[in-house]
Amino acid sequence: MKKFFVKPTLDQIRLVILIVVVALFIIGAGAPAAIGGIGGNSANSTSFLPLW
Amino acid sequence: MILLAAVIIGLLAGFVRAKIRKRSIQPVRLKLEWLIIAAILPQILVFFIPTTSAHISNTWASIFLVSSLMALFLFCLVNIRQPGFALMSIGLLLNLLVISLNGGLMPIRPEILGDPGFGGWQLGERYRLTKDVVLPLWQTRFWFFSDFFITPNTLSTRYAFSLGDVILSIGVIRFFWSLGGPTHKLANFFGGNP
Repeated sequence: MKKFFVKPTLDQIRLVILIVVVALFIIGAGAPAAIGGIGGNSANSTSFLPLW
Repeated sequence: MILLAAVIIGLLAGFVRAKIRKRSIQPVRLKLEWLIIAAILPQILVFFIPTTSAHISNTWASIFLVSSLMALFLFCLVNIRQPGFALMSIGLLLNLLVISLNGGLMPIRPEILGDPGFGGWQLGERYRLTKDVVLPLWQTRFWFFSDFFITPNTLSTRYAFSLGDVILSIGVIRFFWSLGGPTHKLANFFGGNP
């Protein structure tokens, strides 16, 4: 009978830790802001970036 | 969490690269990983959890953000030999520069936020629970490094982002891409550029 759960290798654990570390890093280092849904809060901002 | 898209794109690229080379992706060990936790924890309390965020003044939010970014910059510097970390350092430095020069939060221009009554923002105040402060361009130092750009309005949620965010994302993609490449020990010996 096949096992459903395979013990992860050290490399796989290491990769998961690395992904979490880099994901936390970019969340901390970046500073984007959600400004609304389709069309945004901004009636004026219908063009692509940047808005001059 | 638009920046997490960079992690997903980078990982996919790394996996595809490794698959093409008929090998598995090679995780590397980064230095001072604990510093990430120490740096991000105050940010989570200040910017991501509404109950705690509501009790923290803008002044403290600024202090936490700048200190946290400095710690993250240190993390970048100690890992600078890893592929992509030079780009990440530049992106982070640009964000840190514009944030520090504008009172400790990332400036965002009011034009892209629409009606203050509908959007719930005030000039000179922090924008919702974000790391941003609403500042007109003429009052913003180094405005070209601020959250000046916006995603197209075809996305379900629109985001304002900075040049630093873009460079950071490219650095992250570059880093994960490198994991699917040749062995890192050798690459690091030659300057971390597989």
